[in-house]
Amino acid sequence: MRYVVRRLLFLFPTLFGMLVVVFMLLHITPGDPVEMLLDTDREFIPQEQIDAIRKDLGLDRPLHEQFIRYVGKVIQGDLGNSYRSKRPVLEHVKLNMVQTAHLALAGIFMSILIGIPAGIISAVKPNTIIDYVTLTISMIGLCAPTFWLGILALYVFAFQLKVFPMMGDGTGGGPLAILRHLALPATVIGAHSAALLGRLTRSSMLDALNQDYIRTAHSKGLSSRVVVVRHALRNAAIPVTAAAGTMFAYLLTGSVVVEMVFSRKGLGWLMVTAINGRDFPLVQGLILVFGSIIILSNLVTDLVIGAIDPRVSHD
Amino acid sequence: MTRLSDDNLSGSILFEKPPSSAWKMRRRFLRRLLWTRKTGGIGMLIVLALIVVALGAGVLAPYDPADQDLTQRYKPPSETHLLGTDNFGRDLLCRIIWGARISLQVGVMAVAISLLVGGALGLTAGYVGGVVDQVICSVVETLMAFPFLLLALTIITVLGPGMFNIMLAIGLASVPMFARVLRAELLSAREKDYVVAATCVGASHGRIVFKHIIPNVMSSMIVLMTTRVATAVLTESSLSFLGLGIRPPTPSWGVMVAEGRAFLERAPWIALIPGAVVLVTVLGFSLLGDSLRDALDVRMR
Amino acid sequence: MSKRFVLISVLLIVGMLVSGCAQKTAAPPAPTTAPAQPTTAPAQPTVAPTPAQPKKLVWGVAMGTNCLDPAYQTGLPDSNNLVNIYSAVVKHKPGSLTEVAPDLAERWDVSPDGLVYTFYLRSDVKWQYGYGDFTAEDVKYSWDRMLNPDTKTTGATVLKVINSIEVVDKYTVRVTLKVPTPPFLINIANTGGALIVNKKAIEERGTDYCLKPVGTGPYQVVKAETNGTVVLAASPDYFGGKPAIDEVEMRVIPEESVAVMALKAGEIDFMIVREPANIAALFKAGPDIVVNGDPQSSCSTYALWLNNTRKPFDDVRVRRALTHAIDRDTLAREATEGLVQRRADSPVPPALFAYTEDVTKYEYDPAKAKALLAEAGYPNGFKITVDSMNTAFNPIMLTIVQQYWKQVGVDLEINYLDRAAIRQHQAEGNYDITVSNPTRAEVGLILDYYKCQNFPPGPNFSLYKAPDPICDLMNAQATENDPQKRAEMIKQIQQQITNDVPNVLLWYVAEITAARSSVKGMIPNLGSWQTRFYLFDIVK
Repeated sequence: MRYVVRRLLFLFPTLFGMLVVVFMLLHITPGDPVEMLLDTDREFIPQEQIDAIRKDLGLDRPLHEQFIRYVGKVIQGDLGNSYRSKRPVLEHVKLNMVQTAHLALAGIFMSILIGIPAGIISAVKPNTIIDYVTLTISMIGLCAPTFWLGILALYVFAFQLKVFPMMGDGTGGGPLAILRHLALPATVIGAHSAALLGRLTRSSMLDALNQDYIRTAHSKGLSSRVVVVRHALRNAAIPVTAAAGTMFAYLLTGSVVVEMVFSRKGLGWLMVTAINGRDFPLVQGLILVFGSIIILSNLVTDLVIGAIDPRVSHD
Repeated sequence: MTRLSDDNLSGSILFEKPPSSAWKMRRRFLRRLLWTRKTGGIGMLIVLALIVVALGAGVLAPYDPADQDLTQRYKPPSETHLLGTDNFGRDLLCRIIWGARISLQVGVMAVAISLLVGGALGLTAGYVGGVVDQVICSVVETLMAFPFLLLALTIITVLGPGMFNIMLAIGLASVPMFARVLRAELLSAREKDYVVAATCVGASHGRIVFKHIIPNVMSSMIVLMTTRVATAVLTESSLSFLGLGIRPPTPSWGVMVAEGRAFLERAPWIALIPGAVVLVTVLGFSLLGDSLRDALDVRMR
Repeated sequence: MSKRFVLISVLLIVGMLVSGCAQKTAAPPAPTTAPAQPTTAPAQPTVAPTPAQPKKLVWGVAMGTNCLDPAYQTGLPDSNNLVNIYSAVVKHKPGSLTEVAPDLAERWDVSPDGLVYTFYLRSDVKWQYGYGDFTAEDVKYSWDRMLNPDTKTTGATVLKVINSIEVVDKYTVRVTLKVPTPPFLINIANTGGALIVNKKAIEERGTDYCLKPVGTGPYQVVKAETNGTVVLAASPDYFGGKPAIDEVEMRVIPEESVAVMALKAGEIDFMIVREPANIAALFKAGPDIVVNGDPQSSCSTYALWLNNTRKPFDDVRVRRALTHAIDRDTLAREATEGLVQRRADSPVPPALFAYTEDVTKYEYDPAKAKALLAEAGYPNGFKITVDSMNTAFNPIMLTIVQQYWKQVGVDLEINYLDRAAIRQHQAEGNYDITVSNPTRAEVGLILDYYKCQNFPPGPNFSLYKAPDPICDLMNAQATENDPQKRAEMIKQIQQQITNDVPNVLLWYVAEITAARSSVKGMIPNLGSWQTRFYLFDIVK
């Protein structure tokens, strides 16, 4: 318990640090958020007007003052309003969170579906043709550029074969529609971490298979299937669980590209539009969200490992 | 001796020292790498081929990669253009050959940057310990909480695109990972008897670090570097997709894949070949990295 | 499978869920304004004589909508929806960039001195969602609101010439200008900022107004999401009659090559095309797809803006040399996949008032280019950087230009920046060369890009200093009431500009749209921000 509290307390300085980094990066980035709000493709805006907007957004104040104000608001739970849409950042996050959560969960599911069998096969039947084939397949997602794989998948399965929808998230169409819309993006994003999972499964399976108790089990005459499933797999599960934190970070990173390709209104997409539009409050808010998710998922992972592996103690 | 800091937050890496006899060790190592699991050999082959192509680009490429011929746009593979031409009528094969040099350069330089910065941070943290360690650790933890691509994306937005900046962005985004692994390795290496012994006989810090510690963290570094080269090549293409790639006329695979995506139906070779080349390259580095990991017996979280 | 393993997996997934939701629960609830529900249910068409299926048009766009208030619109998805939700006092005559047609005003008078405009408004116009009758007060409110500094809008530039707005009677409004402005009507037809809004709705809906707008146009908003989609339904109250298409849905597709696939597969009916590679793909798509984009009716001149205050561009010979060095006809043809066949010779696009062909022309002549460079003291060329966005025609155009200039010894380095960075550089005048295609439906606004007083942060991206009499002429034409005289002045300006070549003119860029062949009634030469869906029909 003390460990959890300590880890949770550690969350705040980390998030604060992230805010400092992002705040500084954003303000040294070339490009003026006010300019981005103006539709000057068609009209020429006088300087007074630009200054008025800048003042309105509080961007005319010294940098440290802006930062202190912002952090003060964040402590009160207010992430501010998006420059562009004028809506609260939290509303944006809430709107887009669901899509990314769906994608991440489905992605994890797909990577388990691909990665774990691949890992088991290559551990149980090492250096056979079937090992190399499954290995190669599980590596494709990791090795191909995600957007390329995504567009290829769209072209083959949505455009040519018309098995899956081309875009969107299926909101309003019931659970089945949501799943249908998830199938391709989740496979593309899940394939990315499948290789990682496969590798971990393989090495921990190999270790487990070399342990004394497995040899004992073998010598007791248990069939190798039973040995693998009952003994080895159980031990192999620990490092695989440990990879979940890393996988989650992968998934969030991948969501940036996958959401763009599959036109899913998620957090990754929101982040790219926010960076491009120099929508400072939105970028900062999203970084806080991403950071919290990654840190918390690491924590949960550690706790789960602690719960299932008696060798790990947190105190 | 300084207190060994708690390792909970940065993950632990176990490291076994390879056998002592150098010759025997090398032979065993090579056998394990290339033979026991053939994927290592395949990976090695791909990477070697890549290096040969990159170094010999000037000899191998039949044309100048930037040479446009607007009368020869979208030409499918033929005798004059083995892999066809792109949307500027440039020879795709040449661009891929020259692109190997660019991609390797990006990958290697990015990794060198992260190794340099991350290594320095990790070594300092692990060796000095105490407050310095804590400060570096918290900075690294903070940076680790950023999704990798977003960090690279933000850095490149600050720096502006361009080949060097892309290397820098990818390299800097990997710094926390290097720092973390190196520090953890160092902590475990420091516990080793021979390091303790060297400290006792009064060896200088520099001597301990360079003579005893660095050789022992090398294997995990080699593994990490190999896999990060793969990541760098992929990240470069993702950044190109987001419009922040290397500038023309430099033939970059990332830009080629990103631009090719629109030609899937009209000129599929422009879309498919560079993508496949990236896939094989990354596969090569990943396989090599995995086999090195097995052969060197490095474990990482 | 081991139960324990299953348990672990479940735990894992729950863990993810918890960690995903933690942020949401930890934060206080955001204002509970459901963003997408209109207060009034979409009114059912009162008369439904057609039992046929409602016609629905889906169009794709790269960005989501932000605000459907004329004062705070921020981009193409907004402006494109705005012209369908609201009406203006006058609108463009379909197919023309230089003539206006009645919209809310049935007719109008202009005083002989060009200062007083009297608009006689329609009396049969109703606001959507039961916000009452439209009157002259609404026009006064809308424009006063735009001009009020407290509104903090950026869309009011063309209204700035207004001195006062006076309600004569319920359906007559009189507008007095500060200076004679011959293109006033075209300007208000052309800008989203001049659309007429309802005071009661804006005050009632407050911060929600952006997503729940009320207009008098042919369509009303059924659903609008922040940074997302917009669904429009035919307004039963529209004075122009019920549009042929009952529902218009805007779908956000950030990746344009996916939008192209969706169009080909029939998932969307209409899209705006930006990337030349996709234009190429659509041209090859067969009879199901129609690509629109008539360069003859373009109101946009694509150019490389050379910084005239920097060496070597301070020498007119260098600027001429660089123009001679490019085969701009081939460039235009190849970069646009044959959509545009000819280069631009005049800074004024051909569809605009007072365009002339009678200007200095620069043919492709690399030998002459080399000679001019040598004469200017650069026999071995020089190295120069261009700042550009990595979108639309820029990459293909620059890559080809790079090759042409290399042949005369000029080494062009391409510096891709994103939109925000480019904007900042342009506002500072900090670049060797920048790329821009001013898109203006009025010639006076095109000339803003060459005016002596408009140095950055103004739009004179070339930092071009025209001879004094021409500077004066550029200002004088804006208030010249006699069309003949004004045309003559603008012609003279074009001749001077082409003689001084402050920028390398490339070609006239048309807005390119693509649609399923079942979509009828598209008028290609309206700018994309003026896609009027009530002119469309779907005939299967």
